Amino acid sequence: MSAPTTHRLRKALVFVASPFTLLAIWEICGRAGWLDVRFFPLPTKIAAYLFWLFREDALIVDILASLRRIGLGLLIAFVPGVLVGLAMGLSSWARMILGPIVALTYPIPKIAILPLLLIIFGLGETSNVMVVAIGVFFFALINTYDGVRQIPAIHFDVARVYRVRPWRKLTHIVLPAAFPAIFTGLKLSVGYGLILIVAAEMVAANAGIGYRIWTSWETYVIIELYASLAVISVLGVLLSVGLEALERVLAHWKGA
Amino acid sequence: MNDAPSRLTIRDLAKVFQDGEERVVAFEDIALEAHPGEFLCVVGPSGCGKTTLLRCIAGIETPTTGSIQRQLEPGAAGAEQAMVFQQHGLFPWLTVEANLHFVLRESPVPRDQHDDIVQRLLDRVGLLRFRRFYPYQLSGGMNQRVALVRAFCVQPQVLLMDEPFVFLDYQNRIVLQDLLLELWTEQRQTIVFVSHNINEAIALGDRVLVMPGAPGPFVREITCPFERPRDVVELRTDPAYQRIVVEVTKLLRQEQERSVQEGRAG
Repeated sequence: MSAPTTHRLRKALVFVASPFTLLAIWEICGRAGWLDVRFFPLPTKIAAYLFWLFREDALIVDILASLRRIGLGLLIAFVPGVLVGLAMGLSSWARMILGPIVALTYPIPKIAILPLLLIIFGLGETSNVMVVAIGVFFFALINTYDGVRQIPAIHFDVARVYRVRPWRKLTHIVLPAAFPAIFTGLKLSVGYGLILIVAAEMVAANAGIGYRIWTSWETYVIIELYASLAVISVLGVLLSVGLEALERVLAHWKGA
Repeated sequence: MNDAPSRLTIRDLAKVFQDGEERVVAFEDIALEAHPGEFLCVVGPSGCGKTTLLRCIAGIETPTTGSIQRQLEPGAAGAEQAMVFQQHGLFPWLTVEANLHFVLRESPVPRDQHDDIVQRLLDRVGLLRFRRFYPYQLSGGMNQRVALVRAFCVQPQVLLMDEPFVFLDYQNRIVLQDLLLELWTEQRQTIVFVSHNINEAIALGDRVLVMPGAPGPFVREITCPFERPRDVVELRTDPAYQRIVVEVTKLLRQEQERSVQEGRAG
């Protein structure tokens, strides 16, 4: 085995071992009676409960419902966000007209718009998807805009000197140059989408991880609350690890 | 000096940057003629506006007044112009050869020649085996060699060079100067080469124009009477070369002092 491989293996081991150590301490404290297991159920119990939930097919339905909403939100809003970001990054007119609107709407916590969405779209799928979409739209927009603004001036000089046609300049210079920033927008969108959808599902859905958290609170099944939190955390890590891997492939030219 | 028709004619050129109330003159009263196949150098102290002048010629910036005219060869196979910058300016997401193909596609060079041109020129600068590499995988000197090839591969009628070797170490600079002369000998286009490096300008150019320290017309025009092909290192033993270098150095020192004086008076 080569040196870098062992190094990476060691890093991966630490990555897995460190949270498990914390869980072990938790388990010991719980069994020793130093922790109130009514509020902090034993990790082994939570794991067993999770296993049972999966076997009952109950949890997978919720996971898929949440992922589907995040996916649809991304699908609807990411491309428009990128397009507006490109326009604002490239045209001072677009910047002048849209800049103030974006500046005023961006700071609003997107979950605060949910009641309004519920009035407009009613209590259902559309409201849940829309709240994610609004969040995604802003992350795509802001990051694309930043990415375009930070393109080194020399790329545009080269385009000018070699008479690169406008459309090719957009597709072959601006887009690839801004791609790492756009991808950052995607990563943030997915992470924030998870936050938004869990919050929205607590009040406005009858399936989903957020919905499960809310019902476990209502029925006072604390262990199920923990099980849902575990699902969210693992889901978040898997999504971000996956996207990081994808980024390494697509933006390899950044030269890590 | 030359009765041949001019390839590039500049008259009464001035560039003024207006920043609110502040009015900064980059250069003014600039006139020059560059002939087909001529290697023209412009030297001047830093901040004299030589880069801005070149960027105006390239069409990156618009001059405030004056005219820039090109009399291009009708029906020439190559591009009107190309430019080499201080930084290589290669696209980091494209491989070496893809960077070259990208500008070739924008040029009038027939498509069926692209592969040959890329292959031949990369071979000339010793980078053929790096053609699938990305810029981040190459050294600064190698990237600047690619940038040089990028300029020559479109076979420009006018080649603009903005202190292209300024960020290279001494050894790399000599290698690149040699390669530049070699490639130019094949294509013989008009080159306008801007530099603050007096030795470089005199060793490379047919003519050297000296830019003033404060905005105004060129203060001197010097013909470099050395035979080609030239050896940029060997040339240093030539007394005529040394004499010109000293002359221009003194002139530039004078110009620098003048701009300091004018700065005080203002």
